[in-house]
Amino acid sequence: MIDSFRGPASQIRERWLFWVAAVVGAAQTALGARLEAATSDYWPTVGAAWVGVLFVLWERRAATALRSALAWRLLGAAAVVVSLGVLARSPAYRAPDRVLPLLAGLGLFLAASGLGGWWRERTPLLLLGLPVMNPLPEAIRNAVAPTQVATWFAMMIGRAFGYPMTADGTILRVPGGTLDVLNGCSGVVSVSRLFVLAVLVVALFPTNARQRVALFASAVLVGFLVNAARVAVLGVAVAGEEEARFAFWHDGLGATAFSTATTVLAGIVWWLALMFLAPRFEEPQGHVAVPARPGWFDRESPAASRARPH
Amino acid sequence: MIKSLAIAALAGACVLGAPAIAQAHGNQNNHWGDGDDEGSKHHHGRAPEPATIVGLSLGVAGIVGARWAWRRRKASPKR
Repeated sequence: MIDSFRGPASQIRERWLFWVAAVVGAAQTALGARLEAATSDYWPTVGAAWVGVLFVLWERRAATALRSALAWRLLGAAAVVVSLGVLARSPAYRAPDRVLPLLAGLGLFLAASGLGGWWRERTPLLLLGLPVMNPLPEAIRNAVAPTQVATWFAMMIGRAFGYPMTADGTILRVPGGTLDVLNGCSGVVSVSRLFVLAVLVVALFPTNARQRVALFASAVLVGFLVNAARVAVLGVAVAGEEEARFAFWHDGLGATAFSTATTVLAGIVWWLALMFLAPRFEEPQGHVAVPARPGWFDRESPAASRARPH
Repeated sequence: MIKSLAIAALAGACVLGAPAIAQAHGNQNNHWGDGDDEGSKHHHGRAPEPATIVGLSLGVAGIVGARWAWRRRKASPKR
């Protein structure tokens, strides 16, 4: 209500952290997109993290007053400039680029709140740490990739639809040829991508431990199973010796359809988890309902809790 | 509230749209590839870019939209 009486300049000043974060986020995402990379997941993850951060900051309109000492502001600004400069100078993606969004976030929140304000900003910082996790580092991806299991599931799905397929380790044999399932096609990429979204859900919604377990477990299941179905479809394309059909499902619109289906299916499962695994409170007659407990990321710091008079 | 959401959505669109501008300058390097053997197809592990962008963008938009709707519902007076 008060907002309507303030001018745009006043609103921009009030939300300075949001606007600065929007500019830094846009710059980092754009600079990330121009890097030559062996993975296409880096800059979309950076963008997703910054969108989550902007949402959190927008909701916290009154809490973005500049409260830090000049030294922290200068140090924070330097961290932001370094994070952008390193990305701008880099012609190709390198592993250390993963921490640059986190460095920019640390710089921003250091400038805004000083050293003591970091605990309050743990949700945005957690989100900015997402590029560290996704794209999954190749060594970890190769270590955890369930390629043989994915091939077996693809065979079972193919057989369920009447296609005679056999799995031989990571090779899917079909009447017209064979399909060699590599580690990246084991579903681990889809699962890693869904983990990014699951962290966003945990950061933005109040959740209990049971719900968090359900969110991440369903991300694994959905990502893995939908990918296995995609591999089965690729096997069918190989069986039909159809190059165009293979390309369509491998890296064309068909692959995008599978990616969309993965996200939509996970979204439905997560919605059910948030709806039906929520803590139930008894509401005896004449009593006020107990409010839902805040999510892990919404709790205040132990120090702040101690400081509050009871 | 609607104005707040519109501004937040605009900022989000800028973040996600900025790479498109960078791409328009031709700096993006796409080198997908399938190595074909006789009678077999190796498909490389890297996911294709449109699939990544669509999957993540759709998810982020859905989650942020659901969060906004949830907050709005919570804030509205109970009937």
